[in-house]
Amino acid sequence: MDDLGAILLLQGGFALNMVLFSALCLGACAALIGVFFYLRKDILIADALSHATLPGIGAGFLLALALGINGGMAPAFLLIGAFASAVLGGAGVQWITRHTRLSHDSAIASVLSVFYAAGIVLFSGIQRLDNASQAGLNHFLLGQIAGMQVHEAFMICALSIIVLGGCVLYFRDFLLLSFDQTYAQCLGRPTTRLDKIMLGLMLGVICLGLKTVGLVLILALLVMPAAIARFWSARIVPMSLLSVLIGAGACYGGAALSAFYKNAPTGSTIILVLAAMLVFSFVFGVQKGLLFMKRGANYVGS
Amino acid sequence: MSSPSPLLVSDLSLRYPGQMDMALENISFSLTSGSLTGVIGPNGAGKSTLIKAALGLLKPQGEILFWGQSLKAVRQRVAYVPQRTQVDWDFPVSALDVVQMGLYGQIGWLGRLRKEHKEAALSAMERLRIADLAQRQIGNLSGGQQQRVFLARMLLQNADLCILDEPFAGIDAAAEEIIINLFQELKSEGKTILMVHHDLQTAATLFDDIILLNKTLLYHGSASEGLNDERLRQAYHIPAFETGRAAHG
Amino acid sequence: MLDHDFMALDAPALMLGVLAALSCSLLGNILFFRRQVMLGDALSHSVFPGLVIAYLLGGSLAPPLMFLGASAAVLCALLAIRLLETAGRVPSSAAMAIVLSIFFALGVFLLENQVGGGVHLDTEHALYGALELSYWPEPFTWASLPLNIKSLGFLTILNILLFFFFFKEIRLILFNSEYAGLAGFSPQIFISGVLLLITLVLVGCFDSVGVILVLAFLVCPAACARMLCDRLEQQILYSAVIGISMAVFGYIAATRFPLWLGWEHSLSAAGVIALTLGLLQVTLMLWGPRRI
Repeated sequence: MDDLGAILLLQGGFALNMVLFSALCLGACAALIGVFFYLRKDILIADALSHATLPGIGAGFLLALALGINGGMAPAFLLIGAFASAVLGGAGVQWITRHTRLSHDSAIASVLSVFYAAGIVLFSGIQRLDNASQAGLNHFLLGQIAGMQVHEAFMICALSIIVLGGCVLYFRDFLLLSFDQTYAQCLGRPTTRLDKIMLGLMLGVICLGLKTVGLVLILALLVMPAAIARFWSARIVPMSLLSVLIGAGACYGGAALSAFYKNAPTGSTIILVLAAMLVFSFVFGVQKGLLFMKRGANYVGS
Repeated sequence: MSSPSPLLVSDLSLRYPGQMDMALENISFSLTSGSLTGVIGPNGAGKSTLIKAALGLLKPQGEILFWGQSLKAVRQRVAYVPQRTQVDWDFPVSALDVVQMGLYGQIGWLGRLRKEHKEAALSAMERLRIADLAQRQIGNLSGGQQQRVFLARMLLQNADLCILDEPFAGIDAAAEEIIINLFQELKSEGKTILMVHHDLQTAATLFDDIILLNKTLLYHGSASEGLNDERLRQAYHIPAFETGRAAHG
Repeated sequence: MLDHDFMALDAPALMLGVLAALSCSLLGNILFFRRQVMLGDALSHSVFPGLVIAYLLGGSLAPPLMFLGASAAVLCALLAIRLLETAGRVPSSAAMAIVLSIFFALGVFLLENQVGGGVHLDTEHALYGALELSYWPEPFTWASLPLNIKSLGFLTILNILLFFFFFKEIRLILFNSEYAGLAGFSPQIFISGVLLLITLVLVGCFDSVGVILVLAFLVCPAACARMLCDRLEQQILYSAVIGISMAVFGYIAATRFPLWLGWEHSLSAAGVIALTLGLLQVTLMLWGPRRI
């Protein structure tokens, strides 16, 4: 595995190809669902939810440990725990915004930091348990793709199909919800339910991305492809397609790069690839890149 | 002209960043000292934008002079009352705290509020008949009371030019009357008042002068002569037979 | 109680916790009322690459170097957010999310790729907080007091002075920044100064409290105080008292409660402090007199 081209062309063996394909699927569905939250200007809710998974992971580990399953590292327990505590976090944000005088951003910040703190306290307790398998828990913070198991790859692929299907099915509704929630309500759309579906799909992406890129950096996979695509297109359908392409491409390329350079951690490599794309688009993007902005201004001024 | 106008605007143009159309184009006018002037125009005509641009809150092209000088030199002589919707009513301040803000500019950096400042604030509130509400949190006041708190702040600043954004929006009749009386008093003291207003019906009686605006300046002059059908039609883009109805509601 | 162990181990940790909580709760009020709490999160994440780059360039972990690198990185992050918002017209929440991710990813990447293990500069402290690792070798001597306590103490005093002397200006700018500008108090200059102070405090909290937990120190005291009162004077005072008392209570809870329960280990102190702040906030959101 010393040729980057060979890795990119799927010549690196089954395990590596599986990792690359999973990364591609994860990137694609994160990018797609991220578009709606980007347009809704509410992407930081993803940050709150991803951090809110931590106490659930800790609790799932402890439960599995108590039941004597695989020393605590039981993927199902960890995933269900993560999902449940993130749902609780999401409900918390909503409750705070609706029932107290705190603003949405303080609600997000409180839930993010306090849930995370609960997770850290649990983790600090687990670390002192002298248990051999607890070291694996750290991967949930910053992610690790290398040791991916076949069932994890399957889960990521299955989820991609669900997210893709959900977004295609509800495309108009999600769009309306992101653009103008009040209007969607006036049209008689079930906005509360749609809202939950949209958040649920995002939560699915977060939970499966946890182990790969980690809870700190999963946010980037959701927001960056949408932001980059917006520099190239002002219309929703091309923007979404582009966003999916960018997300999938960056994850594929980033995962390949990190397999090539042994010391490059996967999550951060993917994000640095996205960062390079963002800088390029910021300058050259035809919709609102720096070069094209100026011409637009002169045109109007003259 | 003997003394320079309290507000002289020449060739003011403004485009919001990222938008194709101009928000305001080539606006020029000068206010008469001691007059009460209303800025009138349809929604989206740029009324609030005009006063914000004049106050330097937005960065327009063109020249804006207050008594022949830049705003920086005469800051204390100009008071501004923002639109009610732009205020965070949940903020933890009392009505008295807000009114006292009118003195901050005069006190300057690091200066402390003293007893005489508080008394001056209370007497300004008395003039608007809200002195009894001094300790209430601003969110707990009615619309008319909130507006009067901001007018008391303006009064306390003792400015020579008062600029207001929709002071009559969302207030009750009693408050409206108190505020109208206040404007007459201020005028008799020789102060100049400029305000954004949306009610065409009351405009003719309320104001001395009118600025009729729809992206460009359509009319500036006496209120009683200015509000004829032809001009309103032009400003509001309505066919001839409908202007009567528009002017009355 | 005041034996050598306490003074050498617990006292510096307590001091750090209290100073961090006090300065964060004061500054947190400013972010809170400007609805920019998440900016604090973005900035604290961007401390990380600053430390790594400073280490790579300077070759040592000398505190002044670390401080310089981290502050420079946070200022770059601020500029990047502004640039995305204005020139790129990216929504402000997305701009913060993007800059946060890129900066943190850069830090992780450089650390793993260039620095490698063995250096006392690792991601764990940033993620878990390491309040309990502070150590005062010769108690009661100024010279051996850990440097980050000294610097955080200095910043806290600066903070208190800011709120004492500029309270009037803070109230005006937070309530109505346009009006403040018209009255001759430039909100831009003031907010830039405050952001600089926040930057320095975040750098000071980086490895004791941790990049994510510091967010609880910023937002929770202000949110708690908001459930209790309707005057800014009280708001600031209450949040400071809540910050300090929860820091003390949380530290004791983390280090002593498990022992009393018959377990010989302690829990993450920064984590428990953040958690107690959160639990107090939940209590006040349910029963505080001014919760709605």
